[in-house]
Amino acid sequence: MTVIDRYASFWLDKFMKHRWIVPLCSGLLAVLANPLAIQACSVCITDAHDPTMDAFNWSVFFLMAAPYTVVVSIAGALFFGYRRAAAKREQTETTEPLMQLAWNDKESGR
Amino acid sequence: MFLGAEAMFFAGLIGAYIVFRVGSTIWPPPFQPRLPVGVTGVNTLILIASAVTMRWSLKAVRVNDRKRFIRYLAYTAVFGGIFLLIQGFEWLRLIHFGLTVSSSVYGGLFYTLIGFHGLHVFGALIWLLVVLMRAKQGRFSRASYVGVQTCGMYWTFVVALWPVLYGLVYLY
Repeated sequence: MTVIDRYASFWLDKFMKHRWIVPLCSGLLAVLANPLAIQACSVCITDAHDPTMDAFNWSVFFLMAAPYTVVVSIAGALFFGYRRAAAKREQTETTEPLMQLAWNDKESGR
Repeated sequence: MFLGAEAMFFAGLIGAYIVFRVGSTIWPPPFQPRLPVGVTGVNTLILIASAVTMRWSLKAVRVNDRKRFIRYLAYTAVFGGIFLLIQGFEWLRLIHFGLTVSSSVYGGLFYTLIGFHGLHVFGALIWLLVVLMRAKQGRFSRASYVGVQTCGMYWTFVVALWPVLYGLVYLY
């Protein structure tokens, strides 16, 4: 037994202790042999600039933007509503008295 | 929350429409009637006018001007009713010309998208009429007008949605 044989046998023994590695590696090799099976993009089924692909992409883009638009619109409405209410409150809470009390003038000797 | 859910509902329908519209090289498909762009454009202006009168009615109730409040609320309902009548009339004409839900994807998408909007306008109109009835009974004042406010929000939503649908379905 040469040094290389011994070295290989040592690592093979170590490798075989973890039996789950064998099916995992076999599976990965099988998937790599068929690249279509590991295609990441679910709508990349046609060539670039294909109308169907463009349509899917635009639709995905629109649906992705829609929730943000909705949330920003609601936040904007709440913000401006709050500002309007605050301005209204400031208007009503003036330092001027609501009415001049006659007895106040009399008692103060004016 | 409700308006957000409604917006996402229409976003889903618009997303489906985009898939078919952008994916087709010829649109509308051959042997399908063209949509009435001009009449619907005028109808769009009527619906926008209804949003303006709704806003004026809200302004009137805030200053306790009951007479103007009821008048503008009634104008809003009338404009909404006119919009629905014109839409219904145009739909009848399109059906007569052969555009039905089952005639093509084009017809199916048109009636689904525009039909759901019409249904929402109809619902909003009924709500508006209830608010108008209650307003005539003197149920709203400067201090309490939440009912009018929520109805106004919903009405503004259905009006704001329409130009988007008109641009997408009729003009694009």
